[in-house]
Amino acid sequence: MKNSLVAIFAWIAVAVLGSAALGGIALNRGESINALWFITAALCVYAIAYRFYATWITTKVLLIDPTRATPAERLDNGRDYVPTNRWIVFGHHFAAIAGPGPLVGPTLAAQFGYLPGTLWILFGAVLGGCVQDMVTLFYSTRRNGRSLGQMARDELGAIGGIAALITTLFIMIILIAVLGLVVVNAMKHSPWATSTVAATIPIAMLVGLYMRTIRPGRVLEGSLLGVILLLLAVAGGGWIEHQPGLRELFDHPGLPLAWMVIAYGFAAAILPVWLLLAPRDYLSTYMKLGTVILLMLAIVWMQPSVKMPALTQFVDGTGPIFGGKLFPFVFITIACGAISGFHALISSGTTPKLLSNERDIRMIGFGGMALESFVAIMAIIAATVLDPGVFFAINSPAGVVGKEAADAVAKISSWGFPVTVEQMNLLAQQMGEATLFARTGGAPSLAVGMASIFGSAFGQGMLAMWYHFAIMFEAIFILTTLDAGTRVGRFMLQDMLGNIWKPLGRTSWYPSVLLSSGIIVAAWGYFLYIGVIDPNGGVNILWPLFGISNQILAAIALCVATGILVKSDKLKYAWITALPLVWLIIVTSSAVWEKITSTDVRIGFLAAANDLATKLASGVLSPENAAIAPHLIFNQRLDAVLSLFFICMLWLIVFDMLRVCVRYLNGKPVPPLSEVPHQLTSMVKV
Amino acid sequence: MSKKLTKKNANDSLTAISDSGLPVFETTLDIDQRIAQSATLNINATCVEHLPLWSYIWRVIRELSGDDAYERYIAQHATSDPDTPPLARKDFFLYQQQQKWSGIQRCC
Repeated sequence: MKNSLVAIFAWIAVAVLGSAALGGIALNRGESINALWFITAALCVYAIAYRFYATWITTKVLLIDPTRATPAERLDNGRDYVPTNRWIVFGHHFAAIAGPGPLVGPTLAAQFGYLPGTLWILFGAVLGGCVQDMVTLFYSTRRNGRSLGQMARDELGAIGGIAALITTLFIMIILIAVLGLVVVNAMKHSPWATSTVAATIPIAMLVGLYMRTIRPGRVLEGSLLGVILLLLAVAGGGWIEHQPGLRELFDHPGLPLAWMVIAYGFAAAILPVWLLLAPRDYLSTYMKLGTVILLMLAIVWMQPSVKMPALTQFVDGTGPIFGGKLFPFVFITIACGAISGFHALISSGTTPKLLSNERDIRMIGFGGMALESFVAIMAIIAATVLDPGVFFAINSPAGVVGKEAADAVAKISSWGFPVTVEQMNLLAQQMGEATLFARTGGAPSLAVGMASIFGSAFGQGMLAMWYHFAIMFEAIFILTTLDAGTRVGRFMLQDMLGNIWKPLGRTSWYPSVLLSSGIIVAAWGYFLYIGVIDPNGGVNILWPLFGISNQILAAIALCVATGILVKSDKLKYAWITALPLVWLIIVTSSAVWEKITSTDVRIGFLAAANDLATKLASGVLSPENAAIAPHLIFNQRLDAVLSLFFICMLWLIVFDMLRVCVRYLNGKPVPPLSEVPHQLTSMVKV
Repeated sequence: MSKKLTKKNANDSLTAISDSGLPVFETTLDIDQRIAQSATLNINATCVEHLPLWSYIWRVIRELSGDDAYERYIAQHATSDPDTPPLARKDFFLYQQQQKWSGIQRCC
């Protein structure tokens, strides 16, 4: 009794503290605000949502049953189905879901001010993303760890299954292209960043050889060796930067870098996994965990001030980084960190095959996503502690603010965010870069933000080191996602091609490997190429497309979950997934509508294509712009078709889900629930 | 202490034995009753208790990173498939990496 009273008071205290922090963040106007309030608000929101909402869902809606044997127990084969300690599963799950997305999206969305992004990250996560991950994990666990596509087919019908498969393949292609663009923009004309990122490739191969040949399977030894070499590479990059004759080898404009990334992606996809992909993944996982922990400690220790206003004038759609109003574009720009459909693929992939008990679903599904959302909050802090003028100078593409530094600072200052050329030059010099203007993509501004937080916590003398460490850290797991994504795309494509001609489906047949890898790399390479030659930065086009496709995948996962809830006679609880689903349908449909019909050339794909076509015909374009214009026009039209295709897929599966639900409620036959019957667990401690 | 739930001590709540020999729980029980029953059972798979903290942490790090994967494989192999020789360390490592990277493992 006494304990429960203490608990009640403790939770009331958490609620009061959380509301105070949130209220402070939301109502603050005009003054800078301590970043600690963001951390406090976030932790309180996650704690309350986890303790009450997640618990309520697991005990009252999903009816988690700790006595039920999980697939890992029933099908234990020591390989893919293995009952595993919940902290270990949590670690694997978190490492799998948390990529570069939650770092890039919030940084871009900071153009609206700190408030919209922060609120969407917090509430989107606890009401949408966490629920999606947890519910998908639960349903997949009850179905022997079946994938989202298989569940869609079993529970709704063939249409759902195909829609899930095709959307996954497309989102993978867009995702890789946009991440490739982020890396290219970070390496552009930066010998330090380029040489460091280039060094990660031989380092990973060395680690791969170590783990395979010298000391087989000694993962920790190999990783330690690799991490030391990576840190040396960051320092070595600084040395190369100052070596005339050597620095030119790594000083390239965007386009050659894009070709290198494309060539690298193809090589990585056809090399054996042990040589490059697997060892680099070990390194990027440690770097990721280490940096996130370090960033959190530095923020708590330094308590930096957030200088960005709560809201900027760009909520009206005139933002320099990407065009479009607050609604719906903040919800599209921040997908990872709030709700990300890709997670449903992980929650219905490896994770359910490792769970030793259904009880762990709340912690792994809901808790894992809450932690990723927290990473997104830290990214928004790192972006908004910069002077807003500096933030916009780094992130605004040359096509919007002008190629010359003087033009850019004049334009940005005229928006009410004062910044000077001297200030930018000094900053670039401190960070060891030639220039920081027009580094669209999020990675450089995040790196500057992280470097200034780390610099103030651990000493200013190392700013350039911290900056390039942050660039290397982002690049290394972007490249991991790029390798892994190309590989998965290849398998999916081979699976489809195998239906046309059997040998193409054999994943070990080398001609088929080359062909399918080539197709996937060409697909994302095309979007990367266009993004690099686009004077408006490419991120403006690609990131919204990625956001839309990722959210549509989330909507598909929520459709499957809602359908299962209704078919399990839980109509009155179906809102837990239907609510975020309806929100995503509204957000993605209106975003696609605007992307297609808007007459603003910075928003509408077709408007931009027509505008450019008119300019090209009337001969007002400079020769260099006229040369690339036909590519850009074609790409804008292709993007319009793609987004229309995505939204049709979504509506198709929504109607399919509604059809199944209505039929069920009217007592007509529907595909039966594919849940595996209950078996008592035997892994019991008394 | 960890022990397998036997047919005998689980008998109160049993109605049938499934094909795989695992006991089947009485499904007519209310979920709250089932959770209440299971509240006394603390279920855990690989967790090891009564170790000093540092060696527990070391264990977790090794398992999380996959450093001890081969040892775990050998232990599992000895109980599940003692008649066939287990894979060599290097072959197991290669097999495991191939297996891991054939599906969606990394996200955005």
